[in-house]
Amino acid sequence: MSDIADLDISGAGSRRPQPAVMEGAAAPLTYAENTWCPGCGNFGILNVWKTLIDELADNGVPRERIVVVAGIGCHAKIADYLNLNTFYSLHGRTVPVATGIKLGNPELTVIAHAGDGDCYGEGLEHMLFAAKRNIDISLMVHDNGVYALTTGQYTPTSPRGFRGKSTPGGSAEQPINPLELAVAGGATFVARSYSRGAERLRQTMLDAVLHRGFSLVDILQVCATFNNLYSYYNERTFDMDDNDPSSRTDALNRIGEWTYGGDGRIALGTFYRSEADTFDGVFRDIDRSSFDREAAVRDLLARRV
Amino acid sequence: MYDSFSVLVGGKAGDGINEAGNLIARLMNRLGYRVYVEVDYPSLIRGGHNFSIVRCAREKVGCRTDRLDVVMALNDETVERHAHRLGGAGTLVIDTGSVKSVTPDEADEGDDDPSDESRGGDLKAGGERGGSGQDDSEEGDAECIVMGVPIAAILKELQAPPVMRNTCLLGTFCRIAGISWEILEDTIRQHIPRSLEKNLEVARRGYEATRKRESLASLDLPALPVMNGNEAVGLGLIRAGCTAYVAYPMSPSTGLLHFMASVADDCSLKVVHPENEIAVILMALGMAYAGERAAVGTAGGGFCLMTEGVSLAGQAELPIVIMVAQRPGPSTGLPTYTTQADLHFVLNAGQGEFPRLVVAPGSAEEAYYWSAVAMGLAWRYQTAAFVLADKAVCEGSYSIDIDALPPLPEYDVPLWDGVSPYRRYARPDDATAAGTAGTPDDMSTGASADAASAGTSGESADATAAGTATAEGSAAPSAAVPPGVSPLAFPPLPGEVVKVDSYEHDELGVTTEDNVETVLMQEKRVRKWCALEEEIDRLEAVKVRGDADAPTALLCWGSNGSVCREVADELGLRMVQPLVLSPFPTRQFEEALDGVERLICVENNVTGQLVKLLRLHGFDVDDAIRRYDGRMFSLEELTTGVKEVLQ
Repeated sequence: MSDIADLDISGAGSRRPQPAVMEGAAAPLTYAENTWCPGCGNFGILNVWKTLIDELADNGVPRERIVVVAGIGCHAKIADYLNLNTFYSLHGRTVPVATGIKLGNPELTVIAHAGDGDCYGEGLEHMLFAAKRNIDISLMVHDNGVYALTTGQYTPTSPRGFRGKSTPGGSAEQPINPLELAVAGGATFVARSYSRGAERLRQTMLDAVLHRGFSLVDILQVCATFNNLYSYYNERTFDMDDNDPSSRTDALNRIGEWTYGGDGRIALGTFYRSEADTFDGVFRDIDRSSFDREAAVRDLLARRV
Repeated sequence: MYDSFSVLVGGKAGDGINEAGNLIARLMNRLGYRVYVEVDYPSLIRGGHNFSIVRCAREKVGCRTDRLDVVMALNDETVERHAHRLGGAGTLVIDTGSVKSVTPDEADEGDDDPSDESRGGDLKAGGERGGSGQDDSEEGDAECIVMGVPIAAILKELQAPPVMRNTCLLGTFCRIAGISWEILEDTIRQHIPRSLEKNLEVARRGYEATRKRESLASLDLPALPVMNGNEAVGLGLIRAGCTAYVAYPMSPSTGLLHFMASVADDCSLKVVHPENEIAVILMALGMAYAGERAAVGTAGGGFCLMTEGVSLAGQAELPIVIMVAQRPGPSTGLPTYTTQADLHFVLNAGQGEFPRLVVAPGSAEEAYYWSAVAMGLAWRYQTAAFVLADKAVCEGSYSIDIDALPPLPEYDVPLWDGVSPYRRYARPDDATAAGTAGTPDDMSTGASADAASAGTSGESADATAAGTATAEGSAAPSAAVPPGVSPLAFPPLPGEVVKVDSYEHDELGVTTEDNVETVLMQEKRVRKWCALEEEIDRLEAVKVRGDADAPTALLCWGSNGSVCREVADELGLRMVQPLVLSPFPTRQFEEALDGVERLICVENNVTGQLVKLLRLHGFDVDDAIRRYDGRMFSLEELTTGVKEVLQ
């Protein structure tokens, strides 16, 4: 009859058995096979999640209210691995999806995982606007300074001179400092952490998720295959213990000490933290229980006679 | 040609021309006339040339006539460009403060006598007055005259703000049209409630500055709401359960954003204007994941940015309604004019193959109805549904009568039955589908086996399979779960997870590159496509008007529906207008063309996009009439065009 109905949809004929179900709803991970390279910094982040789920529950966020959004890149496989509500989005588009989910249901706790190419390159504008709106979501950036899934090109946080497959002579661009941008944009929680050092990372991620407003955690996450910076980071990172997170000026000074390259010391911890109204708050009090659509339509029409 | 009366108001941008036209339309509407308002303006805020044409008739109208009865000029350019369109007994009203190229005729003594009916007592057929689009004034029982109103002086004297220029014009129009002061006062009280006394004073002066030229009788028809296509789209979306509207402003879709924002509080809507169109569609898809019935709107340029989101909606099976308001391209093109050049863009936007609904309304009523259908079907089938409009519909204002429409179909959204585990992309009907496709031998690996392995009782699994089978065999639009559709659930769901994925995925929503799983998922989406095609066949997806048995048919889509219907009525032709363009309503279209020997396709584009679409479906067109200067066909232009083709 029609072109579509004429299509042969008889298919493969036999069905493959369903994958094994996780060991109960309480399991932190799904059955998905982990395909990160040995030594990948993403394991450190995933491991934090295994305890973070229970910790969030202890802090009033039951796991069914958690939604994890991921972009596209090695980081994003976390969406498949986590036995949580997930939205495996597009490259660069974690933040708008996370924003939409939060606006759709402000009772959800929405955590976006993104890559540095993903979030600081393809989708930088979304991060700035999320900061500007102070939408109550958390953004965890797996910042490895390289496009790994596409096998090794420079990213917005790669240092000048980075020799990748698209810049064999060395990148001619300065890296951006995403934390400066986030503060400038209006983010109310800005932190940096490292994929090595589970306790520190766990605490920072927990603080970020529980923070009311937009939070960014730039996680120095090592790509063991295309940009192995373990020794570079191990030599330079330190935990801040003397900063004042309530001071924007102090935060910007500390953030500026390391410019995503060179020999500066790399401060870890929370640079900036403040309280402000959240964008999702605007949409919290909508009550549709008594809304009669037919009557509303008739009323709007009557006003136009 | 329907018996109608047309008035044009013209001036510079910033003169409030649009509002003046709308006020006249509302006034005529109160007298029982059906109105259509075409607005023509360039893309700027101050200066340029704007005009608004209000056409009034006893029948519903949706196009302009070249022939005008009254021209109200706020600048010389209006006189220069439009005065020659006045019929023999027409009236040119000029603002004597700003129009210098002509001077008002001397008023004859006694001309203002209310009993003097220079044009007879009711509407006269434009056709009787030689309205073939030419500037002839060969007949006419009265001469075209020029009347002057010192608008600026009146406003100055009354210390009224410039915006009240419109009120003054309205007063002037009423006097010329022979409409009583009482009706005018009533209209002003309802539609210009602010500074009421001052407005009435200004209107009174406008009213008194001219004299009666026509006697537009009150019709014995109920007054209808007047609304533009953008607003009607919004109304339809709201009626069908829309809870959120996300958009970045872009002509000619901006009116929908403004409308939704203006009614957000009354209609419990979440209205968001994000950083760009990419954020718009991704945000809306995030909302859909959370259970919010979101819609977005844009024009071609903004839709370019949205295409990755369209494909995501297809793969992740997320419902979304996308209003695309066409304006001439390529690129920035003519931002404030009309076209029908984005049909194939919308039909094909987004990588990969997935079902999409595309409806193309041609009036405010159709915009209301089909936007509601789009919202219902987007959610029933969890995919992208497009309302493909054009500037003429979006910004044209129409009398709208929703009670004249068929009842809106109520589309159920198949929801998860709560039997654990929840699988966002469950395919309970794999076996059923294999059966319909001609491989019934595969039934043993069907839904019940699958559900049982996942810990479901055989009983409920059987019920699911049976429900699906019923849906396929039944004509009821909302029975059970359509083929290929996985029941929806939204977080939070204690003990369950809701996973959506832009990659190919398994039933839970975990990424897969397995070839068998890929085939099954591709087929799942195609099953939805087929079911959607059956669904739209239950609606009037192809409209036939005019003489339904005529061997010559005018074929059109979108805003050309109105002008084609009128020409078909005039010339005794059949009019065929597909309202659904994807999935293409092949069966209904075939039926609509039954007995047609000559098919003339009318479109606002250069290459004949509907003609190309029809060829894909095995239909051929004999003649084509196309306009691609960004303007609509006038009634006279299309009548002449069709006559030429038929000669």
